Formats: sequence, structure tokens, C-alpha cells
Amino acid sequence: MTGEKTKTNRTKSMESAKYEPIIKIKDLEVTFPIRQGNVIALDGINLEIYRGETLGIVGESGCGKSTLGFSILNSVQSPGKITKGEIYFHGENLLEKSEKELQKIRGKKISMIFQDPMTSLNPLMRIDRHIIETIRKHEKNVSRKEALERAAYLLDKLGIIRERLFDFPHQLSGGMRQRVMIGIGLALNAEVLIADEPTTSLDVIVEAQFIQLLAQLKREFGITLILITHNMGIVAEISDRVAVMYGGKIMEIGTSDKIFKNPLHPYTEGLLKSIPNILLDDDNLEPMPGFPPDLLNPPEGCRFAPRCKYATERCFRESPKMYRYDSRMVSCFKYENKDKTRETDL
Amino acid sequence: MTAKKVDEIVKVTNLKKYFEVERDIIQKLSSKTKRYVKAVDGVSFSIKRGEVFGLVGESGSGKTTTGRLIINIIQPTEGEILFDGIDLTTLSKGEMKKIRKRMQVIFQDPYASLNPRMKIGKALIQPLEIHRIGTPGERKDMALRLLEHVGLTPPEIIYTKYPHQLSGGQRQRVVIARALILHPEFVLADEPIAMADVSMRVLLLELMMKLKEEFNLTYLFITHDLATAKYVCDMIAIMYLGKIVEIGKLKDVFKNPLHPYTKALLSAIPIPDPEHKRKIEIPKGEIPNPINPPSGCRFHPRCPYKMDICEKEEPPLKIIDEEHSVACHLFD
Repeated sequence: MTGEKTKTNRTKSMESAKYEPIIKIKDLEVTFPIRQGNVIALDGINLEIYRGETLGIVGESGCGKSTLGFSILNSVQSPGKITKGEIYFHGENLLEKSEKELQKIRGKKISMIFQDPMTSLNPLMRIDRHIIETIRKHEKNVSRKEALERAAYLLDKLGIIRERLFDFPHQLSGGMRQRVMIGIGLALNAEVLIADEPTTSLDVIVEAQFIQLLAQLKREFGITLILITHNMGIVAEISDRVAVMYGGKIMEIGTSDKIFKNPLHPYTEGLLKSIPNILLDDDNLEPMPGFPPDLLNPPEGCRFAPRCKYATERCFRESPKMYRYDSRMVSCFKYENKDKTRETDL
Repeated sequence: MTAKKVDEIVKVTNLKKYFEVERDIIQKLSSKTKRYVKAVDGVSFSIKRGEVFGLVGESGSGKTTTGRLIINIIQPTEGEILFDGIDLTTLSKGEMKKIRKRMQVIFQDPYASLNPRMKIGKALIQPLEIHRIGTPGERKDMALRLLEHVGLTPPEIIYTKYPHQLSGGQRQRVVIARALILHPEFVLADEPIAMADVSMRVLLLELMMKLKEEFNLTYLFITHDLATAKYVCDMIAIMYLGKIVEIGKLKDVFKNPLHPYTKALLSAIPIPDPEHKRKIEIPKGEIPNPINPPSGCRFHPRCPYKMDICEKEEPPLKIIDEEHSVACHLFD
């Protein structure tokens, strides 16, 4: 696809045109060779992430959402490998960079936080050292004192008082540890923050606090946030756009307003119908039949077809492309003929 | 609830469980006094036959410990547990074994609940062997029928599989089937769907509700997720730091939450609707250390409605409405 076309398409699909792509993923494929064969964890992912937006990537376990997060840093966990595709950050293909060049981007430009902050922090290092060393590793001319001041300032913003800087990770609660992880990311003025299930190990109230904090940080620091989660409620709360993944593919992508109000893909529809909404008096939950696909032997055709109530014979044979409909991209034959522009390769 | 024999299958009174905090050698030598985690600290409630009783709280609230005390896999520090009128705290091992048949448990993690070296069939008939029920042929029949019942088909194939050959959702169904093979009256379900995928959860809940009707079960349903509780529970008790802060019919508690903590919990749940705006401010801070719980009302350091009395006096559970009680000084 040419840059020209992307631009016009985007202005059509995006409600606010001020966004520009900061990350662009083209035709990404990630394979995990295991004893029984090759697991294609990501299969033909195309995605643009715009500066300053919050993109929610949702899906169930095994859908490839975490692998997608790691791919952006070109650090897919072994034995997984990126077997195809391109990932552009500021127009440069990260997959062509050396390990040394990547280290300058990881952490400094693109920062990632994980579900369990305890595994990301060294239990023998006090909090201050974590932040100071990170800053000084990337910015050699910053003194320890300056780095400490910056750490204290950031943690204060994150609601952690200065005294806690000198605690060990185990002395902090789960919510605080997660905030420290963000602090490390912000200390380097990261442009992109990838948060992989950041609230899954937190309790509901702390989770709500954390989400409010993320929203506030976005406003203050203008960071681009990629939020990977299985929790549709959290996505609804802070995402501008949502990408729904299933079986290693993107099923639907669009603004959260559209996706939550009027899901197009049968999987999105099923997912939204199977989560209880505590505000509704009587929510008619509709369970989704069947089981997630086995990626070692993925079903032919559409990955969701075996569980889909609208599936036709063709869905089991042929894999749908991404079709444009209602300012969104959706991978389902239902929208093939409704696609007024053209079949896109987006 | 339809007109069933209304009696209390479980009744706990002033239940307490203190775990001793391990001291290192220096603390022992310096004869520092023993310290305790007051995991459950004076809890009383009863569960009626045929109902789904939800115990809801954040991690560290004592909900799981309460469940374990009720099925008698740990002993209480203080208090009374009546199961069908029998005080479990005074029973001998032999007597307890007979009761145990009537109460079963479904844990959160279907990976840890099944022995990886034991085929599904063997795992299912083992409880029957332990309790000497049926002949080997009959046991297999019972297991196959139950597998079909929980939606694992074809049962003959599943019977011969190992746990690792099944998906997480299928495994949790095996765990449910195993809990039911002895035809218990009471099932403790401790976060039974927390590990399951979002699209699998509703199916598991519906299965559990279907089995409840078919097997005349009573559930004690432990969860941290109010949305799940809303879907299945008749009664609900909210726990905070080892205490029940509010208890009542699910509908009443959801429509008219009284305790500030219950209100906070309800407003903290993320709503799958981008237009939704939170109405209540989320309380600051996190659940305090249960070794040194706050004085008076344990929620007072986080409570937006804190009064002077809250620091000094612990509020008792007070009946506000029929079957709806709250432990909060706002209702004195």
C-alpha cells in the first residue's frame, strides 16, 4: 500500500485527523517452532498506531495479543521468531536494526510493563536504584543526584511518597510496584508505553485507581499507550481505538465507541454478549459455544468459523480479508459486499 | 427461590482464624511476642439449603480462608461451624469423613486441581473408591454419565485422556464433574471461573447453575468479581480485612449498597461501555496489612465518610432491613 492511500483511508476512518502513525506494522507473522510442529502465533497482522492515542488490544489467552506487544520491541520470547513482516517506528524498520540499536529504543522510546511487576523488578535492588540506573544507562551525562530528583518527582506524580523510594520491591504493594514500573518508563520520556495486562494482578479498587492514573498520565505526558488486556471494561474506559484479536489474527479494529455500540465481527459480538454488565438490571448473557482454536492445527478458512453462528460453508474454506465498513476494518465475509471502497490489504 | 425445605445447611458463628506470623531467630531470641495475621476475625452468617451464597472481597479479605474453614480443611482458632446442624469443630476423623462426602470443592486452578499423571477417568472414580461406592463397572458408568452431563463428549474418549490433553475450560469441567460424583449437598466454589477465558466463563456459570438444579446443590461461591456474583448469587456477603461489612440479598445489596466499601467496590468495576462515567470517587490507598489492621472500623483510613467514632469503635453488623445488614457507624 502506498503512503498516499494510507493517508486518505486514515482520514476517512479516524474521527480526529490529528493522529499520525508512530508505529506501523505490516503483514507480521510470528512462529513458535515446537516439537509437534509450528504454531503460528501471529498471522498477517497489519496495524497502525497513532501518536497520542490509546489503542486497546483485546482477546482471550492464546490469541497472540502479548506476542504482538513483544513483537513491537522485536523481542519475541524464544523459541518464537518473527518470520515475516515489517515494523516501522518513526519510519524505521525495527526488524532490520541490530541488537545494540534496539536497546536504545527499548525502554527509552518504547517502554513495556507487564502483568506481574514483581518479576520485572530486581528484589535485591531498592526502588531508587532501579530508576536511577535506568536513567543513567540511557543518558550518560545525568548525575546520580539529578536522576534521583527526577525519580522522586515522577513517583510523586504517580502517588508514591519520596520515602518509599528507598524501599525494596517486596515492601511495596502490587499497585505501587506497577506504578514504579510506569515511573521507570516515564523517567526516560518514553513515547510509547505498552502495558500487557497491567491490572490483572491488582484488586478491583486498585485497578480502578491505576486506570485513572494511566488516563491522567496520558493527558500530562502525551504518551502513546498500547493496552493489551482481556478485560473489555478497562478497554472501554480508556481506549480511543480497539483491536479485537482471535487465533493470531485481528478480527476487527475501530474506535471504541463504534466497537462497543455496534460490534461488527461475530466474535466481537459474542465477546460483548458474554461479559456481564453490572449496571444492567437484566443482562441477557449469551454464552459462546465451542473452544478457542488450536493454533497448531488452525481451522481452515476463518479461525472463528467453528464457533460462529453466522458461518456459511465458505467460511470454513476461505479466509476472509479485512474489509472496510462503517469506518472500521473487519475480517468477516458478512461485510465483503458492503465494503464500498475496495478490498484492502490493510 | 421456590418453596424448598428452608433450613440452614451451613451456619457459622463468630468464626476466627489467626495465622501465626513466622519469626526469625533474632525475633524469637529477643522474645518478641507472637504476631498473628487475623485472616478471619469474627464472622457469622448462615447459608440456606438450595441457595447460592456469595462471599465477595479483594485479596486478603479472608474469603478463601472462610471457605476452607467451612469445609474443615483448616481448623478455626475460635467459633462454631454447623453443617446441617452438626458442629464440625468437635468431630473425630472418622465422623468427618462421612460428612466430607456431603461437601465438595471446586478450586480456581484446574491445572493444579488435577494430577497430571492420572487419567481423567481415574481422577473421577477415585472419590468413589475412597468412599467404597459401587463396583468397578458401576463406578465407570457413573463417571461416564457425569462427563456427558458436564458437556464433555464423547465421554469414552475424555475418560482415557490425561489432563494436559484437555483445554483449560474442559479441565474445569472435569473438576466440576469430580466434585459432583459423590452427589454432595454442598459445594464450595472458590473462584471457579477466574482462570477461564472470557468466552468460556458464561458457559461454566450456566453449567454450574444447571447442575445445581439437577443435583439439588447449595453453593458457597467465593469470588472477587461482583459482576460474576451478580450473575449467580442469591445472597451475598462483602468481606474486608477478615470481617463481613455488609450482607444481604444480592438484589438489595446491588440496588442499595450501604457500606462505603461496597459502594466503592461497585463503582470500581470497569463497565464495558465507553460512555459510562464513574459516579463515585475511588478510595485512595490499598487494603492494609492484616497483621496490624486499623483500629475501630477497618475501612476508616480509606473511607470518604470517616467520622471520629470510626477510629475508636468497631461497628457491629446491624440489621437495616429484612436480611440486609451493614457494619458501619453511619447507620448507628
